[in-house]
Amino acid sequence: MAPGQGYADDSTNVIASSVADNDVRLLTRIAAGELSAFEALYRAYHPRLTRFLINLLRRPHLVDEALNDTLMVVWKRPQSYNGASKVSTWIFAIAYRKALKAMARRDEPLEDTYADQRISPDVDPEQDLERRQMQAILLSAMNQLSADHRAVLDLTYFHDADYREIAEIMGCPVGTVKTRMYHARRHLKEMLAGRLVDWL
Amino acid sequence: MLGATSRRCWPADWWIGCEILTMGRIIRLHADDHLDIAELLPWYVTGRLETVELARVEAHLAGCAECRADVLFQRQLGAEIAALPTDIDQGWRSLRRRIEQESRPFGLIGSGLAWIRRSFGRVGRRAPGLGWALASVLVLAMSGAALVSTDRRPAYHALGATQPSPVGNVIVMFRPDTVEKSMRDMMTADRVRLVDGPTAAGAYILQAPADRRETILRKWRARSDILLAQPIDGPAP
Repeated sequence: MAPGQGYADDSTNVIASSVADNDVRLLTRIAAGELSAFEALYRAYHPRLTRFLINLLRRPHLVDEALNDTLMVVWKRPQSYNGASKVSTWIFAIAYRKALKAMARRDEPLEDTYADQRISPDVDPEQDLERRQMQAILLSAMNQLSADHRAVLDLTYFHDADYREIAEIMGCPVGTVKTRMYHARRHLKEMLAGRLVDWL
Repeated sequence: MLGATSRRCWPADWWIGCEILTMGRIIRLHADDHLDIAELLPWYVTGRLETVELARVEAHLAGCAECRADVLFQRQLGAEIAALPTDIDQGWRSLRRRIEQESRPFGLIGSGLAWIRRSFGRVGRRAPGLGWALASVLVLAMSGAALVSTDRRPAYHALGATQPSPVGNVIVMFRPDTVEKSMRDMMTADRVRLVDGPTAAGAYILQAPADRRETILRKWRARSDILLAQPIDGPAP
C-alpha cells in the first residue's frame, strides 16, 4: 500500500453508512416485536459477535452464553439504544460487558480451544504447512495477550472500529485504547519477528 | 511506583523521543509527533481516521521509513487475523427456542431446563456426575409440576362414564415448526396416545406403552423435531 492510502475509500464509507442505516431500521422493527427483523439482525451480527467473543473468552460454551445473552438484550430492550452511537457500537458494548461477566464467573485456566479450527482450512495445500505454522505462531502470540488487548486488536482489524468506538465499547478513555493497541502490536511484532512479510 | 517503572529509548529513526513505561501506561517525555502518529497507524491502515488525523499521518509517513514499514506490517497483520468458523443456523435455532420459551406464560420447563443446562454444566465440569445428578433431580421435580399443572381432572366421574381418562406418562415438546402429520406419524409408529395438550407452554401429555416408554423416549430425544421428552410418573416399571 502506498503511503497515504488507507483501506477505506468513499465506496466503503457509503456501504458502511448504508449498513448503519439498515441496523437502525431493524432495531425499530425489533422494538415493534418483529421476530423476522430480529432474525435478520441476528444473522448479520452472529459471525462478528462470535468472533469477538471467542477472542475474548476462549471458551465455546461461554461464547454461546454471552452471545445469546447479548442478543437477548437487543430483543428485549431495543429501546435502550439511544442513537448516540452506531447500533453496532451499542451491541458490541453489550457483548463486551456480557463477556466480562462470563469471565468473572470463569474459574478455568485460559486455553484457546478454537485454535485448531481457526487456522484457515482453505489454503493451498502447497502452502499449507508454512501457512499453518505461521498462523499457529500468530494465535499463540495473541493468546499471550490479555483479553482487553485481544479485544482492541480484533475490533480494529476485523470489525473496522475506530479508536473512539472501541473506547465506547470498552468503556475506557481513547488513550487507553491507543496504549493497549501499541502494546499488542509490539508484542505481536516481536513474536512474529519479521516472518509476516515473507508469509504473504 | 519506581520499582514498576522502566525507561526505554529506541533508535532515533523509530522513536524521536523517549518514553517511560509506568504500570502499562506510556508517559511521553518530549513532544513526540512520531509516537502520536505511530499510535494512529492501526486506524490509518483500516481507513478509520478522520480527515485531520489522516493528513497528519500522511505527512509523517512521507518522511518516515520506519512508519511506512510499520504500516506494511499492520496491513498484513490485520489481513491475517483469521476468520472463525461459525454455525449461524444452529445458533439461531437455539436463540429462537429461548425466545419462545421465555415468552410463554407457562415457560417454566423450557427456561428451567436452559438454566439447569447452564448452571449444572459448570458444576458437572468440575465434578462429573454431580452436575447431571442434580439436574436430573430438578428435571423430575419440574416434570412433576408439569403433571400437576396439566392433569387437573375433576375428582368425580359422571355416572355414565365407563372408564377413567387415560393417564399420561410422558411430556413432550415439539419444535414449533413441526407439522401435525409428523407428530401423528411418530405417535402412530410407537403406539403413543395423546392425553392432553397443547399446554400453554406448547407441551403435550402423552401415554406411551409402559414397557417401551424408556425406549421411545430415547428414540424421540434423538430427533431434531423434539425439544423435550421426559417421563412424568416416575421411573419405568
